[in-house]
Amino acid sequence: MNRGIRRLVVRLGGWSGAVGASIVLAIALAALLAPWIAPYDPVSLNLERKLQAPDAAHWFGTDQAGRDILSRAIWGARVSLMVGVLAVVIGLVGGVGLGLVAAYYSGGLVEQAIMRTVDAIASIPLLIWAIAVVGIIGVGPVLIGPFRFANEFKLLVLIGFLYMPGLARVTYTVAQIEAVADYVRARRVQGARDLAIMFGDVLPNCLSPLIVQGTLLVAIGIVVEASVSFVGLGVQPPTPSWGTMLADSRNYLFSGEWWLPVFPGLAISVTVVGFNLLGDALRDMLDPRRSTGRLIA
Amino acid sequence: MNAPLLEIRDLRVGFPIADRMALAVRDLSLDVMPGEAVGLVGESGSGKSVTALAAMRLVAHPGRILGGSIRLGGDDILALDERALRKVRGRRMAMVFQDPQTSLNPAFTIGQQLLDTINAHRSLTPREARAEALEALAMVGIPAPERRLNSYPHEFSGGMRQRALIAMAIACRPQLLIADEPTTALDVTVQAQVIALLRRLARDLNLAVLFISHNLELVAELCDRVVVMYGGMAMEAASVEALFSAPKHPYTRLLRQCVPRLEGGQERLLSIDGAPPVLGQMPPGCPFAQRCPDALARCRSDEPPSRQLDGHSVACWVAT
Repeated sequence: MNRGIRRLVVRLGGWSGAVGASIVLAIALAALLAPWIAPYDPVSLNLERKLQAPDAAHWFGTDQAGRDILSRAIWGARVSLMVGVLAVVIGLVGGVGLGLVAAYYSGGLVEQAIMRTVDAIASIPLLIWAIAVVGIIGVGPVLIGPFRFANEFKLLVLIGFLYMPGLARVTYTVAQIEAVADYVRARRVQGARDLAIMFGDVLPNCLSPLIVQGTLLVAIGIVVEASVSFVGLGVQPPTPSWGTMLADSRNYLFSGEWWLPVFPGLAISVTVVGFNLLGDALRDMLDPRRSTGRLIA
Repeated sequence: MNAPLLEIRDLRVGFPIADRMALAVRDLSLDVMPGEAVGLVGESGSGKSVTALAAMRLVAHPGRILGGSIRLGGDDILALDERALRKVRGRRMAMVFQDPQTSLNPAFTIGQQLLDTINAHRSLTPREARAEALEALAMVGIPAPERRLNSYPHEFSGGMRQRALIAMAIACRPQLLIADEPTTALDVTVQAQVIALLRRLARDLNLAVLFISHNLELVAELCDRVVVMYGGMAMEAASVEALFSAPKHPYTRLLRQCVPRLEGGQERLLSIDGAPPVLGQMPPGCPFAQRCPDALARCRSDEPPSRQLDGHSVACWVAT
């Protein structure tokens, strides 16, 4: 085998990491290049060609409205990835800030206020939160000034907020150890500001678990988006999304048109598996205790 | 005699233990003159590190400074607000800690950390700041400083890290360096090098040093004056020569005999019977009374005040 590839595979922590990275890369490319690589318009109806089985013209077949399922799956990657990634970004911004502050001002009211609030929010499962909140505020688009935000933006901001408790806890746990390290004391003795120490010194030493957790949370966000869209509270038609595609296919589960549920379902599963493999590989790579391949509980 | 650079008066630092404040430092007074090296000696738990942290006003929660005063060059450290305090820390007094393995941030290069320190207090152009950083590294005797600026802490040996930390401490030309057991985590040979370095820096930069150690020999090497602490109190303070040639306090005398000597004489190494008092269970009177061979009844009831005796300042009822 090509030595360059072999070295790359080793760097990615073995085959599973390499497979995960490849899947994530492929999905990301599909999402980015959707307008150019999708063979058909994902939303234009063609009732003459509805419910076509996969063939040379439509590799994944067509749905009940004659839309090309491959094209819809490619466009669906956009929504899924956007929700998955942006939610993690929002969650990281808020969660890391909260966790750092709680850990740095450990042993006081600030810490208790932040961490107990976090515990309270985290005591209700993510999916329940998402469905409840969207159910209450409704699925319409949001207008802010001249900008019109589709329902999925509401969803991703919401998921981002719901990620904050978990990410705050991860940050808090690691930062608590780092915040009492001698180098933090040394920085204070040098007259550095608290904020500079928190973000400049403590945070860089807490990054690896956050990177791992962030990667895994992208997968969870994709599942949540698909689930919420499946029950009609997420992405609204005609925007293609894997969750709505699955919802539309419910009527055809037992009537023989297997390609309707199988391909969006596969898209979700493969993407989620890809992010999980990548996250696991990153964990092995970034955790010095595991670098020998030995598991320490 | 000119005014002291660091002047600690009747300092009391307490930690809450079982609903009351236990005193880790009891009415400690201490002066450091400009350019002078003062040793603060004591066993573990005698309050020497807490004293150092208090001077920086960095006593960790839940500990608190309960009383007394700390003045640096006439400024009341205990009255400064956070902002003013940041300007004092690192700029006018700097500190080096015991463990060089953990005192450097593993995520950044030595150069970045040095520059952080310099930029925190001085507005220099990047070029000037870099020159300062190089000079600081050169001053502590790190070879090839240009190359070492880009090294990470894990690429440094223990002695080199301690040198790098000292470089950071002196980068802003403080008047006072507090060194909290800076050699304890190092090899004996490296210890001697670090002591020699501190002595040279003190001379070249007219730097006052408050050197905290449990090692009397190192204190004798470096310091002009010594303060011996026990149970949070200053037991005896004197010049190095006076303290070593004619210790007045029974504790100091015993401590001197606990140091092994190469030139023989003693067959068995002496140790002081008993253990230091535990914080929160401090007996009344002199903290050393229970272990003191010369203790009188009075020693167990009344706290001895500090008094002058042949140039020593001694807190003892018995010492003559």
